[in-house]
Amino acid sequence: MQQTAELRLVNSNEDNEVRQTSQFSTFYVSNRLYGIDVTRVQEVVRPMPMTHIPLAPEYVTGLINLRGQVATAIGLRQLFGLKDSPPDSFMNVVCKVDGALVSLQADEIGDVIEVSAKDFEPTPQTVHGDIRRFMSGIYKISGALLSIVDIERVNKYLNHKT
Amino acid sequence: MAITSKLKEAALAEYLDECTEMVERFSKNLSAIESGNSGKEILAAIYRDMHTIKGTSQLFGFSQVGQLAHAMETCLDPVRKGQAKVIPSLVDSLYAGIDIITTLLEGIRKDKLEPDMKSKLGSFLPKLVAIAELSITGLEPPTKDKSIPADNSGNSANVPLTSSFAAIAPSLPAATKQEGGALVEDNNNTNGEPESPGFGLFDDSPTPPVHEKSSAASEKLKAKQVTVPQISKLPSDLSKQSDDSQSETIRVHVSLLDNLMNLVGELVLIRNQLLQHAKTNDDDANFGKLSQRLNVLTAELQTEVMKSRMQPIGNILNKFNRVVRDMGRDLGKKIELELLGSETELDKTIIEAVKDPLTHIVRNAIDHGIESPAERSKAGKSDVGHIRIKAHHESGQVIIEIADDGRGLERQKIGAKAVENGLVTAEAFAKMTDREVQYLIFAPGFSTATSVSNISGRGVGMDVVRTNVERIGGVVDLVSTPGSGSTIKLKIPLTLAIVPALIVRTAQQRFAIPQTKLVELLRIDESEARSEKIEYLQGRPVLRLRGRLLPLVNLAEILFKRELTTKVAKENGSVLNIVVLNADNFLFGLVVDEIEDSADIVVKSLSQFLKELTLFSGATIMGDGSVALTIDVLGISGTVRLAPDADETISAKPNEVSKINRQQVESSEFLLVDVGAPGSYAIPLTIVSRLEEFETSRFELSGEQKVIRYRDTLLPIFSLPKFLHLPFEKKKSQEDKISVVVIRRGDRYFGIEVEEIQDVVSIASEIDQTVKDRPGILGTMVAQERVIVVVDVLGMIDSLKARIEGEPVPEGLTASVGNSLNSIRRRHRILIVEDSSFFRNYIRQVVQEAGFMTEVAGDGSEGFSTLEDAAPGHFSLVLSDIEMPVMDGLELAKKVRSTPKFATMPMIAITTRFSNSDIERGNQAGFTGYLEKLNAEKLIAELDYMFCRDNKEYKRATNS
Repeated sequence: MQQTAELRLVNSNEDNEVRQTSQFSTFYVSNRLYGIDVTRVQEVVRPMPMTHIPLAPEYVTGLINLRGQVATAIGLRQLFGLKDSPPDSFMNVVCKVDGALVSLQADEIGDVIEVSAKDFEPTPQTVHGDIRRFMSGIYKISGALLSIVDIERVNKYLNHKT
Repeated sequence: MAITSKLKEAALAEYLDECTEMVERFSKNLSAIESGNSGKEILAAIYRDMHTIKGTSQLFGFSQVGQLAHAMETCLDPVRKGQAKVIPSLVDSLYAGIDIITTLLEGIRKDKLEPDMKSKLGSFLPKLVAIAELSITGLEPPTKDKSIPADNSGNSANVPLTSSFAAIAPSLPAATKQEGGALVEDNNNTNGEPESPGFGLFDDSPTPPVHEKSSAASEKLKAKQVTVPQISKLPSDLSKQSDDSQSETIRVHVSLLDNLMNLVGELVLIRNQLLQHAKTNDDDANFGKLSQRLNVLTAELQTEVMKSRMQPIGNILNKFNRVVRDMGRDLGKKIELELLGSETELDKTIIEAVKDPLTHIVRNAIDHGIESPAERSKAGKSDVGHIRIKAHHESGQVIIEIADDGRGLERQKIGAKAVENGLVTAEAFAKMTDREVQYLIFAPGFSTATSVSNISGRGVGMDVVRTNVERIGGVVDLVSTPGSGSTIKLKIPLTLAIVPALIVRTAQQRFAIPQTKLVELLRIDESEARSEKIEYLQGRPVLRLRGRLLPLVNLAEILFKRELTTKVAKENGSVLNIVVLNADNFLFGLVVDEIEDSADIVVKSLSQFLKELTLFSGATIMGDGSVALTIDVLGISGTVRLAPDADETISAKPNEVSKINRQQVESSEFLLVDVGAPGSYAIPLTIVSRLEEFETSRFELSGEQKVIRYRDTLLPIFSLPKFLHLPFEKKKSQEDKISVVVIRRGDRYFGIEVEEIQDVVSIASEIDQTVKDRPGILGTMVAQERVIVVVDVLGMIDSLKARIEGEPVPEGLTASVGNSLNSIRRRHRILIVEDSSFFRNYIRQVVQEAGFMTEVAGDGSEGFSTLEDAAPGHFSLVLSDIEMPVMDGLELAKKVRSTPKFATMPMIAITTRFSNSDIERGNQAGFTGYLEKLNAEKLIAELDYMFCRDNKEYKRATNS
């Protein structure tokens, strides 16, 4: 259902020749480029000391003190089910979801990239479900493919899963 | 009764404060209107204030205020709607009206009685109405003279002079005021008796526009530096001198207090960090001093801010007078309500949070607790029922007790209802202690009222009470004696925001434990020979503390699954830090690595998706800026014990052997028996129907089969050693009684004779199936440092069944229903997801025997992939265990539910874990049913209900 809806969206954009652009805050996980709608990102912070939460799911990596607020850190690597060895420290992409702070932990931070709607494609069906379920689509940008992570889908998964 | 009047007084004071505030605001707005601001909001505001004054005054029975306010409101209504203009004479009379109201309020404040001003009202009101009419017709009053009607100055005859003197009056010292007053004819009322300013003013003069008067007056008075608007303030200024209490309270918005509280919370955190910093950088003495000062001030500020949010609980308790009276009348019950400790103060948010639960409890007490007068006299009680609500402080908490002297909770009644509602099975109910039974009333959807009254029992009730109270960190307790009443006790924290806590360290990580649950701290030196020594009871450490046994729980073990409990004490041999906690009357010792410090913490809640980590109540930011998790003591106690125990002393029942890693292995209860052969043998308790003792003489032989007459049938008696070909040691058989374990299979009973029934143990380890040298043995387990052989009783019965003389073995419903039902059954394939091979095989067998097709999976993830790989419609139903490795049942259910093609797939949970909260969790996850493991009949009945309920034969079979 979702896929067809997105397809329709793309088509209508092309039909109308709409030159819509959006901005994404990008980051890397396992050398792959991901982006989150820039309006959803509160801030990006350097590696922070974390408090481990015993018994929490593996992808909940810990709690971070973000200037007096407690943010829950989510390891994207773990969330995506990537098995390769992680770097020593993670950058935090902090988003506000349902009034709470969630920090998505990525390997590296990229630029804020502006993309146009005509470069949008739905996530190919062949992408592994563990990642696809968090993605709203792909933007074809020069030299790379930008996978869009939908923070709402992440949130939905988190609340559903645990 | 004294309390009621006290509360009344409080309400009256509040009414007066509120009215005064509104009167002041009214005057302020009126003067704004007068100076040309006649915006819609401001008109609406003055109307609203007058409306409120009217309403509350009538409520308190102050008819004069009410009447006047009503008249003024009526005048304002057309103005508000834009149908009338604000003409100066209207403003004047409104001022005058406000003055009368003020005077009346003064009188009420003084004497608690409305002063009689009817005659003045009688003359004022018609004028007001006349002016109001004028304001609508838009005509100015005929005489535009410059008399001052609004105030105390009196007649229009001596116009200019009067106005100036009246204006001067407030600014003059009392003595001159008197003189000033004397200069004015007919004006002696004004200064001598401020509560009755000159109301004669309207007697003979129409009201002139006030602004003209103002300008005239102010011109005249400039030299004396008196401004005209003070005129309107005259009475209130004077009265303020006479009554100080009036201005002692101000009303502020709750959100302001909330913000203040949050800011103080943050300040406390910063203070903590600063103190930490000062401690480590102690070379600057001045810095240390300053930080100490800041520390003290912060603490004071915190206390004061907290106080600002405190309200007496009487604010909500007094409402129950009405509830009790009205409900009592409706139900024909005589009830007296007694309120104690209404002055007990609680944080406003908490007061609001307990309001609904309290209402529910009181309503329940009236509706279900207190009997009708006839019933009461029959029971030898006075026909007037009593409900007592008592609030008091106790160790940083507020205790609210709601006691009634009604019929109390009746076990059978609750049981019938609970079974009927499917909250518990009849068998489970029979095993429950009275206290557990009483706690059933907290189950969702429970209501014992035989008829659902419109007052209580609408499907919500005590469960809502419990959840609401627990949400704010409170505890609900219940004591009930059948026949003499019930007492419900709420323990509620004073405030939610800042919590004193103990900081502990385990596995290099810090945790905060709220001090409200803290009993004491122990430090055990194992190397010393002392009376305080750790011993092991059924493999679990306990400590003898002042003659009582204290169960110990290792925090690291719970949190990190480390097997430390048994070793820590032995290997270390040195020091053990124990935090003794009281979780709802369950005392236990939490073993931690280090005890650090106590600190005030601000608990921040965890993300929604971490709410299921019941061990933590939230997180806090520590002095050094790091984040620490706060331990939920109730969550811990819930994890480590199987069932709440009523006893305050800690019972050391063998079946309380707790299991800790419930995420990994499910514990099951086993009956340990001495079969008369070497070794320990165990029978899964769930398949045991009852334990009996028979006299040896009652045994008879049918052929070679030992039987006994049991109930209405013959009970075949099997001997385990015989079946297993074990060396049989005849030890105690000389005795004239033999213990028999009665097992039900289908609707037949079978007996197993044993030498001795030793114990019931709960064992968390899995059955090891590698060592089983003969049929009839299911496997072995290790528990309590010994090997226990698990007997395959069902297998044994099945193989022996054949030997029993020719009798066909009926199997549950199978035998009693015909082919059509069987054919329905045969069409359905059921997926059984269960990690324990014993149960997996057992359930499979049961389900297969009933005629269903089955497939099995060893855990949730395997189950899900089996489901996913199968063709659509392949499976009709999923039976799943809850506690499983890799993916547990709840997760499986959620996953199945979130997969669109399985959204309607029926899922039944089969488990030994069977509390109401478990059922609720199961339902939330998506299970459609919840069944006790190994209750074969119920399982088949449920399956039949699912698939065959439309079948005629099924209906016939179940109806008969």
